[in-house]
Amino acid sequence: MTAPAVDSPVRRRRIAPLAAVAVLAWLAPCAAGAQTMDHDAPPGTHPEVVVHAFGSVDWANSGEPNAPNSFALGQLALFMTSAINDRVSVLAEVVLEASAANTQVTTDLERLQLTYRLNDHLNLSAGRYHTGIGFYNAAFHHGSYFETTIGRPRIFAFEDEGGVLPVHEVGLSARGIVPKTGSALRYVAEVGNGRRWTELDEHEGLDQNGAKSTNLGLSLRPERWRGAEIGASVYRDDIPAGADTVIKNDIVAAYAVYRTPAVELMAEWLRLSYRPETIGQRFDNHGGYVQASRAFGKLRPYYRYDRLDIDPATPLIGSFGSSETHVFGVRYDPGAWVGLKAQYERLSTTTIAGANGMHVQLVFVF
Amino acid sequence: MLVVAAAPLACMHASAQAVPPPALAIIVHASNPIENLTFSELRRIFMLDTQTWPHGRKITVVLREKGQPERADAIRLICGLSEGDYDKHILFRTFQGSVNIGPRSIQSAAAMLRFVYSAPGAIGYVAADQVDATVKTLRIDGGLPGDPRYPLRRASRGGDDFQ
Repeated sequence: MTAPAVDSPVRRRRIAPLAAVAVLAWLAPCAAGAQTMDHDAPPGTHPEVVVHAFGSVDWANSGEPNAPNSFALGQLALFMTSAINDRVSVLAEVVLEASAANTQVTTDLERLQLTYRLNDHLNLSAGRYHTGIGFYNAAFHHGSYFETTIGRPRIFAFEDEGGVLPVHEVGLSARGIVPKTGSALRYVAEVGNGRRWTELDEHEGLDQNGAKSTNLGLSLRPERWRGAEIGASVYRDDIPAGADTVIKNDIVAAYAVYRTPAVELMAEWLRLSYRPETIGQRFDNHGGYVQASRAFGKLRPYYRYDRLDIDPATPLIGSFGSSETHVFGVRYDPGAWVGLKAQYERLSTTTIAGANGMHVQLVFVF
Repeated sequence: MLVVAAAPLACMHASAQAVPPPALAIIVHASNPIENLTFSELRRIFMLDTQTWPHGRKITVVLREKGQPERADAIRLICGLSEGDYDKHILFRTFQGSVNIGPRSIQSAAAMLRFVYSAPGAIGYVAADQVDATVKTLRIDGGLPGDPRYPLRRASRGGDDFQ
């Protein structure tokens, strides 16, 4: 311009289904006027709230022995954001999940961030966020509407679903555009508690040691190739694994994506290193995926190759197991804010050799 | 027969050359110190990749209401997207946490002018012949709507397309 002890970072609680309905009923009037403001009053005269809900209904046949095919309710992600004033905004994402019998609801506060926006170069946030490790985790959250496929790549699975990464963190983050780069180069810097791997004490939700996790990332979006982005990030943490035992954890991620309304090409690779200080040996693990899709009108066929190589001797994640998955599917969007996905998966793990699964998912936003 | 049929086509061609397609004027508050934007900068603003003016004020993007042809045309001209893809992009950015509130929606050109007049950080658009003295028209890639190389021209016929 001119001029396993799987962590549960946020305590789950059961609430009566009636209470969940009450929350939705309270939100409904807000959702009606969400996203764009249909009036011509100047901005800043009053706080505005944008509310959306992302839901899904699933059917799956995993192909595993003794696992019958079944319908299931997916997560209902309630997403709210509000600009408190020109500089400060708040974001919250609450996920409701039905119990197996669909008679009870569990709630998770997945994201809660207060953000101060100085300018495009510096945005400071405090709260619970999705860590900026690689691309997928910070781009796609709990609402599965925006994901082309059914389910996340195995490497980016959520902690309470057997994931190996610190997908969520509580702490501070800064992000923005690097000045003098024509909006092409972006950064993210995060300081958080780190993932809670073991239950050493009863102070759930608090850090277990004074060492903070850090994550630094850079991404480049060249103006002349709209939709293209390459980036890398480095995450570090000291994980307390016993009374006097610390495990040094490094996670390096690199990615290249090209996403336009018609074409989607994504590739990510991560190296997860764990080094217990007591033995000094480093255990390296790798994971990543390659995904491609192309829209033909309302139809979008897609493919994903998903791989996770875990060294069984690795502390904390050794028992999670390696896997390799081929996913072939098609997504059909019959109208705005509704999508239907169907995919075939061929999964191989250390204990399963080539299980064939089918999965169908109806996703929607309102 | 061929000569008779060709004559009206020739007239239509000459008429199309005489009346350039309607231009879209990008308007901001009169106090905004910005005079010129490159087309890339304009696109980044409407895509909400850029959200603050260089002087620090928050940018408020203003579009016509959903379903109005003036909205779809502006989104296509500036962002190169369909209206549906643009709405998905905005919701995706909102869900990522990088956008708090999406673009404003305004019912008419007169309301657009009133809004931009009253909001110091606003940026909107009207047909070039609807601009009045209450707002400032920005140059895009150095050109104003009357310039032959001005990039924001609707590809369809003339008339009151942005009423």
